[in-house]
Amino acid sequence: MSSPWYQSATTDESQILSSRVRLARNIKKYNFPKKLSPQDAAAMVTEAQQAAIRAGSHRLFHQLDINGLSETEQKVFLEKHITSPEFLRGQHPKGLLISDDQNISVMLNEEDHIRIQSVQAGEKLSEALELANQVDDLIEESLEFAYHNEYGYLTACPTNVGTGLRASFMIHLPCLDTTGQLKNLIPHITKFGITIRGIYGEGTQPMGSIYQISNQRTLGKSEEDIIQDLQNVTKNVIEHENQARDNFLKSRLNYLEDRVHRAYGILSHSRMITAEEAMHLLSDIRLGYLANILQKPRPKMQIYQIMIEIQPGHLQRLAGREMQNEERDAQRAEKLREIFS
Amino acid sequence: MLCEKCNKNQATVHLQQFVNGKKTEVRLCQQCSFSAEMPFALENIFLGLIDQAKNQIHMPGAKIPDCKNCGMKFEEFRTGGKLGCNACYDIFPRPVEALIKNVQANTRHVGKIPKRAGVTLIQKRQADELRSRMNKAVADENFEEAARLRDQIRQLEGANQ
Ligand SMILES: [Zn+2]
Ligand SMILES: [Zn+2]
Repeated sequence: MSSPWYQSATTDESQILSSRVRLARNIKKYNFPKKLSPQDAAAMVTEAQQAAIRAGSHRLFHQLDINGLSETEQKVFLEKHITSPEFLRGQHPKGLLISDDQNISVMLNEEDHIRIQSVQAGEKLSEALELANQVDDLIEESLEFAYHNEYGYLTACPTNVGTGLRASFMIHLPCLDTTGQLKNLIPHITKFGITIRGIYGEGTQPMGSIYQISNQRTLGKSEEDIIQDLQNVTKNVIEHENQARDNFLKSRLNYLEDRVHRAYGILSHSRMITAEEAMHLLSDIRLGYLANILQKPRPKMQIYQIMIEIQPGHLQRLAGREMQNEERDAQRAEKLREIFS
Repeated sequence: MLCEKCNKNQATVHLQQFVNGKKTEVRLCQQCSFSAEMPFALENIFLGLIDQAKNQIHMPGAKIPDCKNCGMKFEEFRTGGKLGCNACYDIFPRPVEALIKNVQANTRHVGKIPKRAGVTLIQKRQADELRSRMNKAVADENFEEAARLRDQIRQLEGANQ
C-alpha cells in the first residue's frame, strides 16, 4: 500500500499544506438525492459504484461499507477530510470509494449523486484537477450525466452548477492570524469569488491557523481559469503572510523566538493537552521551521500529519477504543512527547 | 437584518449547519462568517438570495407550481436551497436564474463538456471557433485559408446531422 498523501514532506515546505479538487456530478436518469426514493438510491449507488470501480481499476479503489463504519472510523474520515459530515449523517444507501494512496475518493449519494475528490500534498492543484478529470471521464464512459446546454453540469444546489468544481488550498497563516490582518484581506478575496474559512475549529476560532481557501463561483469560468484565479489570490494572501512574518522577524524577534521554543517545550513535556492547545502550538512550531528559528530537532513526522493524527478520532483508533476527554488529552500528550522527544 | 454575532454589520451570509445532529441557522456578516466553523464549507445556502429572487420576479405570495417530475415545492427549494431533479431547473427558472446570477461569474457554462451529452456541443463550439477564424481570413483577404476553413466547418456540421 502506498503511503497517504499527507505523509509527504511537501506538506511542510510552504504555507500551502495541500491542494484539493472536488467535482460534483449527477446521473441524468435519477432524481437528485433529496428526491430520490430509497429503492432508486440503492440502484443509483450500485450503478455508480460499478462505474467508479471500472474507472478506478488502474488505481485499486477500495469500496467501503459506510453503514458498517464505527463512530471512530467515521471521525477518522472526517478528520482527514475524506468525507463530509452530511455524508455520514444521511440515512439512504451511500457509497464510498477510496484509492490506495487516499489521493482520490468518490462519495456516492451525498448532496449530489457523485462527488469525485482528489487531494495532493503541497501546491499541486493542476495535478489534482487532472486526476479528478481522468476519473470523471472514465466514470462517464458508463453513465450519462445531467447536463444543461447553458448551465453545464447540473447539481442539486444551483450554486454548484457549471463546472461542479470546488478547488481549494489548505493554507497555514500564523502571522496574519496573530496580527489580525487576515480580516482586512477578506473583501479583497471575496471580490474574486473566492472564500476563506478556518478549519478544524469547534467554536469560532480557527484552530492552528489553518484555513481553507476555495472558489465560490463554479459557472461562467473554465476549470483552468477557476484554478488560475484561486492560485493568484492565494499567492497574494501568502505574500501578505510573508510580509507579516518579516515584520515580526525584524521588530519582534525575541517574541517570536520565545513563542516557538515555548511551544516546543510544552509539546515535548506536557502530560495532558487539548486538541485546541496542541494545534495552536504545532502552528507555532511550523512557523518556527518556516522562519528558520527552529532547525533541530525535527519531529518524527510532518507537522500537518501530526495535526491530523492528534484529532480525537485518530487517537481513539490508535487506542482501539472510545475515550473520555481527559483520557484522550493524556493520550495526545503522550503521543506528542514521543514525536518531539 | 444585522449580523447575529457582532450586531454591527449587515448580515449577508446565511449559514445552515448541523451541530450534534441538530440544524442551526445563523445570519452573519461577511467578516463573521469567515471565522464560523464549516469544515466542508461548501454547503452555504443563500436563502436570502432566493428570497430576493422571488420578490424581484414574482409577487410575494404568488403561486409557483410544484415540479411535476420529482414533487419539489418552491417553498422547499426556498428554505433548503437544493433542487430535486434536472427538471426543477426548468420548473423554477426565474428563481434559479436569479440565484445563479447573484452567486456566479456568468450564467453560461464555458468549462468541460461531458463527451456523451456534449458531442454536438463540442462540435458546435469548434465550428464557432472555425467560423470566427474564417471571417478573419476573409477580412484579411486570405481567401484560400477561408475556403479551407469553410470546408472544415461544413464537414463538422455535416457530421452533426
Ligand atoms: Zn458580524
Ligand atoms: Zn424536480
